[in-house]
Amino acid sequence: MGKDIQGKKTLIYLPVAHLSPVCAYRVEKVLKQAEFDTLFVELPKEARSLLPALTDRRTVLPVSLLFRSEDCEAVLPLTEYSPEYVAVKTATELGKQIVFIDSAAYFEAPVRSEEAANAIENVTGGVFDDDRFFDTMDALAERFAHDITEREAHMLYEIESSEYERGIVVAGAAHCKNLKNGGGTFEGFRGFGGDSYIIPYIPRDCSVVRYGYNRALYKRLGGSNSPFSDAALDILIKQAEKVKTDYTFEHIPVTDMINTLVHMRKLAELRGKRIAGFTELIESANSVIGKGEDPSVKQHALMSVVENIPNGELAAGYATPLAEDFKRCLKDHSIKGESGSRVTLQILENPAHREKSAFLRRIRLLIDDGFAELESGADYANGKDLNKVREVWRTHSVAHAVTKLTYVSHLGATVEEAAQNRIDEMLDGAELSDAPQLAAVYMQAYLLRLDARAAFDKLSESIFHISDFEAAVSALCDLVYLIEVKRTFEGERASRDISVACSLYGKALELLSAVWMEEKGERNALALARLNNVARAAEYLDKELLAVTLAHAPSYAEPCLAGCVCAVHDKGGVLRRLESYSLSAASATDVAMFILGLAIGDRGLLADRRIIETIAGFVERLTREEFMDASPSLRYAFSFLKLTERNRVREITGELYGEGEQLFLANDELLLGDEYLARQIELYGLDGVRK
Amino acid sequence: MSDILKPLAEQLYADELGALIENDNGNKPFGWKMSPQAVRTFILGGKAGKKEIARKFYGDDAMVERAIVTLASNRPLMLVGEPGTAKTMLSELLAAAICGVSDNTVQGSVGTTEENIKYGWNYSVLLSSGPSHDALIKAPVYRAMEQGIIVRFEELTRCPAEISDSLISILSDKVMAVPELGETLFARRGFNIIGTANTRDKGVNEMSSALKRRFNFETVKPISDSAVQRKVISGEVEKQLERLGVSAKLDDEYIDAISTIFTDIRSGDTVEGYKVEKFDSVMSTAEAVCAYLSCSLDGYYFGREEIDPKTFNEQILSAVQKDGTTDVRKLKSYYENVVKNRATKSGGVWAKIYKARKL
Repeated sequence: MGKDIQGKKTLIYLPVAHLSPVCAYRVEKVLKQAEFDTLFVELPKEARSLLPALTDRRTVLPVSLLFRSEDCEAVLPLTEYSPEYVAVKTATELGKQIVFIDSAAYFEAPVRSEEAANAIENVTGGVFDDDRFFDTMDALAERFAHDITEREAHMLYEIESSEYERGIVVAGAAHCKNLKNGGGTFEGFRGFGGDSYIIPYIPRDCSVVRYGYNRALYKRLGGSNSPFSDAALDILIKQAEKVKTDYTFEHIPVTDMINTLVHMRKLAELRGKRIAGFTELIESANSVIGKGEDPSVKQHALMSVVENIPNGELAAGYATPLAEDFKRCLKDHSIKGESGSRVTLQILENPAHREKSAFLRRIRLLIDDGFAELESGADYANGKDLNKVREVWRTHSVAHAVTKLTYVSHLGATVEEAAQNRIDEMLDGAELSDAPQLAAVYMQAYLLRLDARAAFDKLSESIFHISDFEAAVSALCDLVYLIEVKRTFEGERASRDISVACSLYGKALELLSAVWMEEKGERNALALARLNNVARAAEYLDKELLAVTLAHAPSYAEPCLAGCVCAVHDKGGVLRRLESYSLSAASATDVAMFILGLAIGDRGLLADRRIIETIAGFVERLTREEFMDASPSLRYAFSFLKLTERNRVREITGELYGEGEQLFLANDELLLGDEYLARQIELYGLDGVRK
Repeated sequence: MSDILKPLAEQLYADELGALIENDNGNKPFGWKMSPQAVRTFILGGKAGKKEIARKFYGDDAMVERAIVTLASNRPLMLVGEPGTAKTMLSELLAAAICGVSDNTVQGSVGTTEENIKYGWNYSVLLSSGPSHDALIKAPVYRAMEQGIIVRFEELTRCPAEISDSLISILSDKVMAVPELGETLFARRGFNIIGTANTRDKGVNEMSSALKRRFNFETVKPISDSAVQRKVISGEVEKQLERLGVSAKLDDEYIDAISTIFTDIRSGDTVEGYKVEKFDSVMSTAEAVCAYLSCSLDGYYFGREEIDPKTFNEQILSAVQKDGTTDVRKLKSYYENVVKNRATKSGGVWAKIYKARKL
């Protein structure tokens, strides 16, 4: 430790090693004994505003200071054994002035030389907790203290421009040497255009902290004097217990635990660490116990145990608004947020569950490897399992989520606002020609219960740019599911989006069938595709929206929709319209589709004797080729009838035309509606659409 | 130039291995030729004294360290992963560095028998003079136990479970009974096994739990970083061209393109951040090397100075159409959306590739 006098001002230097318990102890002792008015500490001045939070009694270490700007992201871990933390805490207790002399702007500035960087890395790579480490660092500092860096010039500037009489400088050993020597030119502050936060520290991110963190951790595990391998063994035993409890047919043999400990220790040795950290523990356990399964139940159990170890905690009121809102939402939705706990949601039946699902999905959108993991349920992003109506979520540690949310705090003050901004970002990033991607963004926005208008408008525009099979299929799947979900969530009374989505769906189907026709040479493909479309549209749309759909999509399936609208709105005029249409329609297929529309609108109409007579008259006028074209639609139309109704139709046609003439209505030749649809789906390879 | 198409790792890198052994100050596990640190340097690159050691394996460095530690802990190592992720190369490098012998190998297949693994007999000698050491034919596991070296078991899961299970007692007790001679072979220090297995290929068998328990597993994943993949492709192509005596220039733009295409369709995310459908085919770095090498050879032998974009597309197509036609459709979609977009925005090689498409 050195002492320097510059004019009347006195400075005492306390060179320290970061995360060193020994240095932390000494710093506390010196500060309590020395006479001083100002503490200069090697912490970034951008974190000065965080001092109250850092020194609040309710803040539990380990925590980290996070500095985030557009260009860089830096994390400064602090444990109970960080000399800098101990210094500010002690100085606060003593009521002294505290000046942060470093800046996050210099975190990525070059070190003096590669040689110095390597030498320091070699030492810090195997952090020791005794005086030898401090001595080594001190010697290194002497060796490389020949030129002052821009960062150190800035530190000196901060010190010299402060009002003090007796100051104590707590900084890294190498910096102290140079600060004492002085020199260098400070050409102005580089500037850091970012934000600073405190984040609760978490095990999976802590490998860089090594010894200091391990020590803090196993202290919290309850064994303040135990070596880390004991803590590791404790974790492995808990993992084995969890595996045994949660999974009937799995167990972890004791030999595997022993092998994990040996592996972990040797791995640390190979990496030049004196003590294995969490990284080594998890890697070794996965290697020895995991057996290449990714991820195995055993790995799940391990992460669950590890994440439930108490982490650092930020005093209430100091977290970012987004993190606070997240905690509030957890409370509102009664989500426990313990690592490994499961949340099962019946999204069809329970509106509160739908809200909860939207919240969890918002969190997943913001932090993909964070809090909420969907174990089963519809995966909208990848178009999988879209038929599932029950969702099972697994939640992870709240501390982990708060940390991850802090990283995205710039997106908004609430979970909803941040998710909306993330959706908008995704929307900006998607090309107009990429309809599937836009459909996915729209789906996300809708299901996250966010404002989806912008996404919808862009999607509407993009759908007409679809030009190939794959894009059509992908957009189709998304849109069909969107229709289903909207109907599920909003009941029969859906928004205008449904009708437009139906028209988009029709467009996609048309493209699909056109490609299919081209490849298979199947003449009826387009007609069949249209039938599907109308069946769906009629199923989901109410009267009003049917009319809207007609206005939006006159180019496809019009006859069928016309029939459907007649059946729903104008039952009395059906016969007249059918007669008129069967005479004036452009093709037999159109008439058949009109009849199908009638069946969709009101299947009882097809059992009416006068309608059957009109249909029969129409069929009689057809040529063989026309009949072949119309036949699939007619069969499909009659498949809507129940068996008794079909028998009734058969009786009528038998009376009218004699036995044997109604063969095309034979049961074994009729495909029932659902079955027909399923076959179409299979035909087009649209498994994602299947109910 | 040597007539051997592919020399052993210990021959190819003899000078590097020599330098590492000479400058090795670390602790050596029993039966090892060098310390774990030196093995790591051999595989991941670094320095041995003044000699520069080239990096030979690109991917997850931590995984390599774990693999070394597994072997140093005297545990058998099983490398699993998709085809073409350099599992075999890694096992060869590990064996070469640890014991100096990388060719003591069992090539697993559905036809592998216990004789191919443990020992067999020279039946003419056996019939004439009965069971004796002269009549005994030592298989790789026998040799490894006897000499205290590593045996590499390639494609272990292709062997029927009843055959691969013959390893269980050997791995537990480190002894092999030879009842015909009334003898027991005790493994010498240094004996160990490195197995490899494909996770995605068809026709593989499930390992028994008992055998699994005896191995530590490491999953070798495809290279996810396009820049690293580019480096691997150019390095490997260069090496192979040299072996083939072909002096073709590498075209960085095409290497960049092939690496980007493979990374995009393997990950399902393009470099621009768009989603594309993942392919069923394995789009490994090894296949990217193969595809680019074919393009180079095409240019060299057919007198084209530049890579022909049509050949380039054909090679990509050839890589994806192994598992049916679904991937061809996906590739077509990828070309029509992603490649087209790049062709419009940046022109250059992307424009050439897009123009020459005919999938």
